[in-house]
Amino acid sequence: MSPEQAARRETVTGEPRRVRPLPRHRAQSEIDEQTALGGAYVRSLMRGQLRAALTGFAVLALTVATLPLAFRALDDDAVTWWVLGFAVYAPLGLIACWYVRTAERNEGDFARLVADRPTESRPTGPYPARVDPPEGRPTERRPAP
Amino acid sequence: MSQTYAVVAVTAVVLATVLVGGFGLRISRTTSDFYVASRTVGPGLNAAAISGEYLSAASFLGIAGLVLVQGPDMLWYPVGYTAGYLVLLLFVAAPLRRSGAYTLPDFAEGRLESRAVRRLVSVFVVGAGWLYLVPQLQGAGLTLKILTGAPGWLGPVLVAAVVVLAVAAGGMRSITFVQAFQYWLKLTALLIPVFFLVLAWQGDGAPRPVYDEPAALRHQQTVRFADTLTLRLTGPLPVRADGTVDGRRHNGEALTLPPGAHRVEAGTRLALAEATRVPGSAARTEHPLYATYGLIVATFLGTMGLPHVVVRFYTSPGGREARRATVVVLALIGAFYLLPPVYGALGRLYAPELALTGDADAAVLLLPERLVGGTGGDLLGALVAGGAFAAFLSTASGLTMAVAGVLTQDVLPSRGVRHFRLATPLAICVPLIGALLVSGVPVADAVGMAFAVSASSFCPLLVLGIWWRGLTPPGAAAGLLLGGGSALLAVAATVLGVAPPGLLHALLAWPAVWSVPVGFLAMIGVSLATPGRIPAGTNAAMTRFHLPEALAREGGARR
Repeated sequence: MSPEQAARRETVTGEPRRVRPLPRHRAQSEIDEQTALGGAYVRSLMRGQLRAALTGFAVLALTVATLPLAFRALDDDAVTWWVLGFAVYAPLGLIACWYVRTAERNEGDFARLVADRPTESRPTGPYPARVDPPEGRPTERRPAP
Repeated sequence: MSQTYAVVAVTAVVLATVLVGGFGLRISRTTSDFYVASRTVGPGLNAAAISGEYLSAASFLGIAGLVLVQGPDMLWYPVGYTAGYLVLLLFVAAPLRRSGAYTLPDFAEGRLESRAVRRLVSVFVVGAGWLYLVPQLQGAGLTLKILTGAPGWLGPVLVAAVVVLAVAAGGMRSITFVQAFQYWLKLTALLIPVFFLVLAWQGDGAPRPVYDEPAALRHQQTVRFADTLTLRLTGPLPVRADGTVDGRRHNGEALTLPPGAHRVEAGTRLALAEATRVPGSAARTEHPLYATYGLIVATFLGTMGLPHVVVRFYTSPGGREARRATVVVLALIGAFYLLPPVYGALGRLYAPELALTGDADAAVLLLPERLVGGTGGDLLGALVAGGAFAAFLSTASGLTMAVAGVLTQDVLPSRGVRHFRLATPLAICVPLIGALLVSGVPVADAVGMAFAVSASSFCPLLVLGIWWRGLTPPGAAAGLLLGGGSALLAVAATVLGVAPPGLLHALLAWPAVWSVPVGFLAMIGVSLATPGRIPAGTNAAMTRFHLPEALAREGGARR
């Protein structure tokens, strides 16, 4: 933080945040600026999330793929009625709750990882340095030139 | 059945929809309000709205009707509708919200930076939306016809008119309230009668031949055929016929119809004696296992791409909230889907003759009168009718909203709220004409076709777009055209009846089993062949999709 900025802070209250962002963390900046390291951070998060999603999906798919065959083998309509009409819904909910917990934990771990590596402030231009189009009203969303 | 109660109930639902929509209109002030309810809808309200929008005529009437006709295998429909949300939660919910895309075309353009892919997706969104709207309108026509004897065109026209009023007036904010309200209305309308129906069933000695195949009649029934139609019997059916069957005139004499196709002229009455076993329709019994898997793939993977579902995620404040809202949605629709099987089972006991007329979708509406009877039965019937109308209105308005949004952005020349209001009548006009011209496809089957198209086109686009950096615009276009296009053609061939019977018919009627892999393989294969076309912003898009808002927001870029 430079001296004159500190001095200005004494005289002007409520300095607009967008003029100079708060001190950043190094990992956060890496992510924002699309560096190789930032890319690696995001990839690791994606891998974790994808693993959670695929695990949930595998459990669902294995169960569901075998059920019609099981019904055919059992040839008992009462079982079909009870399983499809009633019993399947609780496992669906359990998979959903497990996934949300896992996904949020992954995101929490990631946030901590990013926050753990503070760095000096970077008085660079306005955030974000990313390429995504500005988010305005949906009708006006067109990619930035 | 007393028509008065039903008319009052339907009128009340229609009025309530317009009034709640009008309430939304007063607080819907900005464009952002109008389109996405300013992205401030919390998980609870949003989940109720999503569920209200999602539980369509197919859920409210169609499942019970199909179970009545074809037995418990059809319970895969509600399971698929629910599990579709689970798959959506696993792969799509949070990243889709974080993508900032308001519609699927927005997502495609934002991710692939290609106007051509955007236009292609728009075509599919409008196609799937229209395909899904037709059965909603037909269900409305059937309901009004059964309840009040109104002509078949009145229901579709009424629903279309109310939807245009509610959507064009209030936009997304009013629709959010309308749909949250309609979820609870639909749940109540099925839940309260279930208690009385089960009590009546117990009072009847709790008969349990529900599991019998085929279903047997509990009481003597007379089936009147209002339209000429072809019966396809899987077993012999003893009847007393009064009218023209297979071109021969009968005057109340007993005969047994052998298995096979029979043409029954309009105005014919078939009297069925007590304990008659009513054989099922032969429509899907040829390759039942294949059909079951086709249904599973279509519903599990198709939900994520339904145009009215995607829009809803954008109204969540963030990815985390979108995920949590999805879990609540799972609970809400799971709770609702416990009810239609009860109606289906009781329908097999008390109204199996509906399977003959092709009006099996009316089972839910007729059961209260048949089991409870009297004024109580009429009142419960009116409640169910109101709920059914809530189902048509909510799904139809959500779909119309989504289709009109795409039409405004990608088809009509200038954009803005005023043009959105112009696009709304256009969005519902085409399916309205379709509903008036095409008939005879069961509501749940027609919806299943929309799911198959969505599963073969949007599912690969969303899943690969969110999780794979290698996706290119030519790859996406190839997958959409080959997967979605082939599913669309197969469905069209089935509806038009050009598919020859046998295995080919099953393959065309349930395309998802082969068209989803085709879509994925085409997308992956062509993308791998065009590595130079990977969009420059791919890494930025991936970061945006998967980074929690708390981190992205520190930069002040996203709200």
